[in-house]
Amino acid sequence: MTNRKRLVFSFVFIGIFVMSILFPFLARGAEDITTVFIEAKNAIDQARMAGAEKNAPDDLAQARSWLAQAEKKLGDYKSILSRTKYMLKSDGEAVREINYLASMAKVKAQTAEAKAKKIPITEELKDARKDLADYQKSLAVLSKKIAESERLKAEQTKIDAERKALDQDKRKFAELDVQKRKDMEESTKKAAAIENLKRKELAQAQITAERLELRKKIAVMEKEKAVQTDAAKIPHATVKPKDKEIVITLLTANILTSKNVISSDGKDVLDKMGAFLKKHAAGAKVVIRGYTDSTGKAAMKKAKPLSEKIAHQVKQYLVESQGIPTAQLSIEGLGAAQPVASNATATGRSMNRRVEIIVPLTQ
Amino acid sequence: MTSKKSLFLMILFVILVSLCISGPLRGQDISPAMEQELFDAKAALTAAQNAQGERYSAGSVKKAHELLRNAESARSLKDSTRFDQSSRLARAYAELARAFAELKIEEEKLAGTINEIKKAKAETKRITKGQ
Repeated sequence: MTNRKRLVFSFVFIGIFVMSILFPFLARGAEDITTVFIEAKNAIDQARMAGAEKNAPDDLAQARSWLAQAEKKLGDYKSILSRTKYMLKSDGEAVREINYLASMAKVKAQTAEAKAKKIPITEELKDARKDLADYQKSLAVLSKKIAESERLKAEQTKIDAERKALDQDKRKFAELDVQKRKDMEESTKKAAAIENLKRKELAQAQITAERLELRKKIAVMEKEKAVQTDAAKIPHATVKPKDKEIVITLLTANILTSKNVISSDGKDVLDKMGAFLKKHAAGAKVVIRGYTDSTGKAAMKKAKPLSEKIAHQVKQYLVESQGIPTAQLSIEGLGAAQPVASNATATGRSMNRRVEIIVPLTQ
Repeated sequence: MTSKKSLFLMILFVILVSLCISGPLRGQDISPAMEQELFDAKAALTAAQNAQGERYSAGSVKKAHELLRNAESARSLKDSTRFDQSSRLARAYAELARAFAELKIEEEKLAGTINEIKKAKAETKRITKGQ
């Protein structure tokens, strides 16, 4: 080999050698791989601060591992040999690999941070839920108590209303009772007044009745008096008032002859008697009783038929001459019974021979 | 001596160049373990969606979706490294979305419970005052 050839060969060799050293530096891409490294480191720091060492140690360890790998790659990438290798291989690929490793570190760190943050939040959520359950429980108890209180209040209100209504009813009842008593008193008074009135009316009626009775009695008395007066006007008649009747006594001697027929004086007397009966005894039952005296046994036997005959004579005359209805007159022959004077004397016997005409006063 | 030295340096250079070229050029097949990783990532994403990840961590879910698409694309290019990285990162993002969603749900539950407690306290106070 000539010197010239050797010199050329040496230059070429040295040039290639120098190029192999300088090219990686010259050919380094514009990509800034330090940025992603910083981000990864920051992410790891944040994860650590978030408690990833305790709560997400695996993820944090992975992140650190990825970062370590990335740093190693970067170190390699910076070495001369590697630079030469990357120069020949692909600079972009090397950077991409480093970026990949750093990105993995960053993402894993972020994941560790999220997981680390999640754990205390989950615990806090658990506590909060427990607290909420407690609050809700106490609220339910409180609501229940309030509902019970409301119910009691409503019941109390109802009871009060009922009591009020009862009081009102009582007052009303008392008022009604008072009114009733008043009414009763008034009724009693009215009844008493009515009773008094009735009594008065009764008394008035009694008085009226008594007056009427009195008037009647007076009328009767007046009538009796009139009857007696009129009877007294009959000639030879003796008038004797008895209970509710008057007895007009006519001596036989004044109306009959010795043969026991009506004498002319007797007719006059009987005419007057007839007029009297028409006036004062129209329609009344009049009894004609004949009496004799008691002279001797034989006479005594004939006394009753005689007395009856005398009574019959008087009746017949009154019927025939005065038109007195025969049914109105009845006769009785009592003989010598009920003498009014002694039969021992002629005057007495004369007084015992008599006719009694009993005229009822009341009709 | 000089030629021997030059020859040594030449051989060394060739070895170095071979080493640098041989790695990247040697393509790796997508292994069943890698496929399993993609499957797990999809499952993690479904779990995150079920945990309302789209509502509470939409960015992470979106990132997981993108990474899954990248993985599918890497499979068609038979880029096992990208496939594996995308799958793993997708799974990590999905898990992050799920964890964040669960955290937010717990926080909301806690806030709701605290609010309920406040209401119960207020109700208790009102009732007690009313009494």
